[in-house]
Amino acid sequence: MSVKVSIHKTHRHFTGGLETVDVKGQTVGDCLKDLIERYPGMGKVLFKPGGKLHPLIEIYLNMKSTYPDELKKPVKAGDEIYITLMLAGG
Amino acid sequence: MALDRKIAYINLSTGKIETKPIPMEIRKKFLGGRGLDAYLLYNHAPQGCDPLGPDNPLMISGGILTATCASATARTHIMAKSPLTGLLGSANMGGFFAPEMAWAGFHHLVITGKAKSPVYIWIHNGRIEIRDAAYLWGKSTTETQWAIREELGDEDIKSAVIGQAGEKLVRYANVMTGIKNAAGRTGMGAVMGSKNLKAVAVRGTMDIKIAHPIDALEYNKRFIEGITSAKVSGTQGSLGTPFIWGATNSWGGLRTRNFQYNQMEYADDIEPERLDEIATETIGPHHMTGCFGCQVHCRAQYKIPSGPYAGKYDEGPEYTSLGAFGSEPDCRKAETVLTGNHLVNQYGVDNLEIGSMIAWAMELYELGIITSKETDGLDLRFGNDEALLEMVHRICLRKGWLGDVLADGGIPASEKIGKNSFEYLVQVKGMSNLHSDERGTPGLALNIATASRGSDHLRSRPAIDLYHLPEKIMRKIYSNPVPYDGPLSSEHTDYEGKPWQVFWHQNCFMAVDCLGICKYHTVFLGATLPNFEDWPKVIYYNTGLEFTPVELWEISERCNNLERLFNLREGLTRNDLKKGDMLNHRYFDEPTKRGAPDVVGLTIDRQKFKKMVDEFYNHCGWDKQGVPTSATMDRLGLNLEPSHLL
Repeated sequence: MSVKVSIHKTHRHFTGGLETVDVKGQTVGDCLKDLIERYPGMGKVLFKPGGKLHPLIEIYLNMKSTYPDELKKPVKAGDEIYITLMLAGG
Repeated sequence: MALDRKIAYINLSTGKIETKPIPMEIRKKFLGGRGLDAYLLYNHAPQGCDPLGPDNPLMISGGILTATCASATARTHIMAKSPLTGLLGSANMGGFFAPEMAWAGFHHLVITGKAKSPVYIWIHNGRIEIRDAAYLWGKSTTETQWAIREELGDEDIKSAVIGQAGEKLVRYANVMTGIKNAAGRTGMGAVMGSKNLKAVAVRGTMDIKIAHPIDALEYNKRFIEGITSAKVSGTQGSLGTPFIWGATNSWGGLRTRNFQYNQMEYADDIEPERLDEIATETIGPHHMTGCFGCQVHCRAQYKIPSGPYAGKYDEGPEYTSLGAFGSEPDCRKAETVLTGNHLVNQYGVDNLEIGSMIAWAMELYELGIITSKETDGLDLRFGNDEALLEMVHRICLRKGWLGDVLADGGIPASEKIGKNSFEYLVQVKGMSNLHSDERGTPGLALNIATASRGSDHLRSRPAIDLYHLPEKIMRKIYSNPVPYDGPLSSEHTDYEGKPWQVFWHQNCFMAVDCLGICKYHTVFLGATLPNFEDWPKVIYYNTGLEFTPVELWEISERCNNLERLFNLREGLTRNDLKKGDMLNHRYFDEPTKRGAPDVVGLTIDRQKFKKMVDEFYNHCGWDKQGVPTSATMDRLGLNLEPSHLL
């Protein structure tokens, strides 16, 4: 099933400029894995060495934050995942 | 109850002390904290008064929720006319001072005059005394607080104090409480110093009656759940504000080498994870701590690991010390950042301003605009850690020609240095910009240009604009409590919709500052954190005062307009580079050079910036010159100001 992932502007050079990417998976973690398989550069910005989601990354599923246990949250066809980055700018 | 806390007027010239209740009419219009202080400033400061003269009133306050059952009501607000900018002076600090002052019976102090010799004010359960502080003069901020505790025999006394920078009238000296809580900006410590006021010490055991205590506690449980379940709180609670510095640097939004670059290279030793390691090694695994009533605990404790100050205890460093002693001067050692942070805390000076002053001087030195003659032989090039720390001492003690000149702030210093030094001074309204680079973020650029106390990130910054939130969530946030169906964009590089976001945050942050709560417990950094829908309930349960979210929004607008009126009265004009809502030319003329692809090569578009300012003024109810219209004055009930009701 297809889930749309919205990419933060600062990460779009890893996705060839794409603002959204359609991915497949049963959970948020699956979807991010699929995204990274297709766009490997996303791996290092989403995850810390060791496989934990980066503390600056917050994943929204539709309108809601998936924190905590983000990667285990189930998804269904038509869902939208937003990769948000807590930049804040100071 | 919370609303029976009083206001005290203390004249240091005459020794006269008068206390009054705060009329409900005033509470309903201005709440407390920064909003009510704005009323007091507008009513008590004579137009054109000397910021370092006896007529400049100094307000110290807590918010309307301070020390109630609400979370994070730690903030102390301080206001006066600024000796740095000549406009609004306003600063806010965490810690435990304002709650203690509320337990001692007071929410607001208005301090005028000038003592003949150094004094401190002692407030204890409704009583106020002016005491000799000759023995405190010359002491550091920490030494002063402990000396007062020792003199009065009570280790629970909380004090708001100045260090040597305030005594020497450094125009960006701060007021401090605890180890690192600093009312840092706009030089409120210099105002205290000008009054020969070394400290205000408070101790109180007077109960605060809560209007609906069970409801207040129950609602606060929900508050705490909301705060502790937000990811941003967890990140703050493990790394503190350095996490923002690290993220901003890796992206390319950090002012570096004054304003030459937007990213610091080779920063491994001062990355947040490295600072966390140092704190763990020197203090232990549980080194994060917090202010009164806080669940976030964003403050690290550490000891300086090496160098001449090795072993000294301190807290932080915050984002601003990383900027001041890291990216701005391009110094890459953790030891330097931690030592610089310690020095500014001991001297009592705004880390942000002093870091900016030194970085500006470093650029001038490398350009040859100042030479070793002006620096008294100091090699003031970027990356010189020793020169950086030496300049901290010189400025705070006004030693040497350059130290004395920089202690007066950027604009007066540029007039003394001459040549084209002003062109390199990155400031708005005479106050240096945060160590961030807003050339890739028009919304943030508009925020710093129009913030009421000069370039600033805590008055109207739409920080969540950089998160790339779903547009529906942004719409939900920004369409409440008043409707908004104009443009909004999740893209931080866009210009559309940003004026509304800045206007919205201007009102949001004013509400927060009137309540006396910490911004980290609000929508400032977390889209899911408390907001206008929550605060009226918290106010009602704790104080019994009833407001709708829209009414709270209007109060915020009223207070923001009072600050605007004060600034206009003291000389603000729209495009004035020294006193207006205008950015340094470098924002428009010099493209960014480093960082991620979305921020490289960017400038702020001058025409689009002008359009944003127009739109922002329109949202505020101001005319094209930024002056509140008569309709706005009518709507907010400001036509009779100054009304001298308090």
